[in-house]
Amino acid sequence: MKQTNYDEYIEQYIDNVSLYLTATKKDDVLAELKGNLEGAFEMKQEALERELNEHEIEETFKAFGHPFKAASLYSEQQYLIGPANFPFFKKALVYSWIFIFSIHIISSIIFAMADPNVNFRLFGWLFNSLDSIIFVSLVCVVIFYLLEKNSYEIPLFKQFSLKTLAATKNTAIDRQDLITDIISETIALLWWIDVIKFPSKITFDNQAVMFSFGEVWQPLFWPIAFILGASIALHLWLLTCNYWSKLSVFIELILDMIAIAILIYLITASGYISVNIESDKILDFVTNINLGLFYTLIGILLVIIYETYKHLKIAYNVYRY
Amino acid sequence: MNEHELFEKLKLELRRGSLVLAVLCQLNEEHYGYSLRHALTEVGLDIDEGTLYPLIRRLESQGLLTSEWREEGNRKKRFYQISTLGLTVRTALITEWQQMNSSIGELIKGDLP
Repeated sequence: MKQTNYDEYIEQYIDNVSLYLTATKKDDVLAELKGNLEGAFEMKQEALERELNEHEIEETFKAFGHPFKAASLYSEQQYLIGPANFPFFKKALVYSWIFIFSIHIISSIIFAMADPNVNFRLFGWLFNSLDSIIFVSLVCVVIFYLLEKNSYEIPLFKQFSLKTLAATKNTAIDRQDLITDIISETIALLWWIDVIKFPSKITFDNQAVMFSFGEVWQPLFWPIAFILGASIALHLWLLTCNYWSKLSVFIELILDMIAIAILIYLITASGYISVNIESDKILDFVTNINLGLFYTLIGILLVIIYETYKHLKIAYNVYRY
Repeated sequence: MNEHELFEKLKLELRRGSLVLAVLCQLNEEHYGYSLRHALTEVGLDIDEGTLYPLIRRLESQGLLTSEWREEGNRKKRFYQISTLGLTVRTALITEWQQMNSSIGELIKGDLP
């Protein structure tokens, strides 16, 4: 075979490309690429009727691209996540970020409130969140890459009917409402489990008066903690959904019913708070506070009944379709 | 992105879509990679190496082309030709192409100079 002035360059180029190729069909790809390069050079020489100069040789290689690019073009998959699964990937990322942030915010508040000696360090919190977000994002990328590699398309939204279109319109989740619920429930839970403390001592009639919960609350510690905890978990989960499902609206209604039962029990009871000093003036004052709490509980009950009505309407739409 | 860049990008997309049909038509007679590129360039379809060579390998792996290693001028080369499956698919693609050509032709009739 006649030795040409570009043969050595071709060998060097092929050696470079081989560095970036995986073992599968490596020899086949290299042999083919070599054949194509030789063909390119031969045709150029034939057209010019002379040997190619250095510049023309370089230009020919440049047309094939950098060895890394040339090698990557022969890879089977040129992307991590294809267009079919990309919308799901995007959603998975956003929801996992929301989830991580929520967990970090709640846990940071709990730690900061539980121990006054622990300084709440904003940057520390931010970097912790960032660590978790990077980790979760990587996990998402790996999962979706594996789905793509195995040509698996998420079938979630492939099938829909006119009925489901109507159902989703009537059962969309109001995120603003949910966020308000999550904030109020979190504050209530933290207060209930003594993580957040409000002043329990006032000065009345020149005496230091200490308030504490009345006996009526004692059997309700765990039921109330459960209701609040379950509501927060449910609402955090709902944040990641677009529409109410049969299960989520069912759980919401169960929680509403338990809350109503607890409130009715409390309204029919008395002695919501007790004090450490017994005197007529202070007892009158406590009676007024108990009366105020009684009306507050009625107010809360009315709000929860209204919420239950809203959830029943949603349930009607969810179960109808 | 300016007007020229936008045009180049859209032109590339337009050509990319028709590339498979062009390759299947040209491979009625056998070619190795570079000679196929040369033949396509001669009929006015200038395709860069990075696009064409992976494409013919993909078409071969899909069974639309057959290939054979042979020596030519003391050099080993892989020659490609359209397969029986490729012929069937090509016929369907040509029909599709003609329909699209006719529809687009109707649409742009008013805009022609």
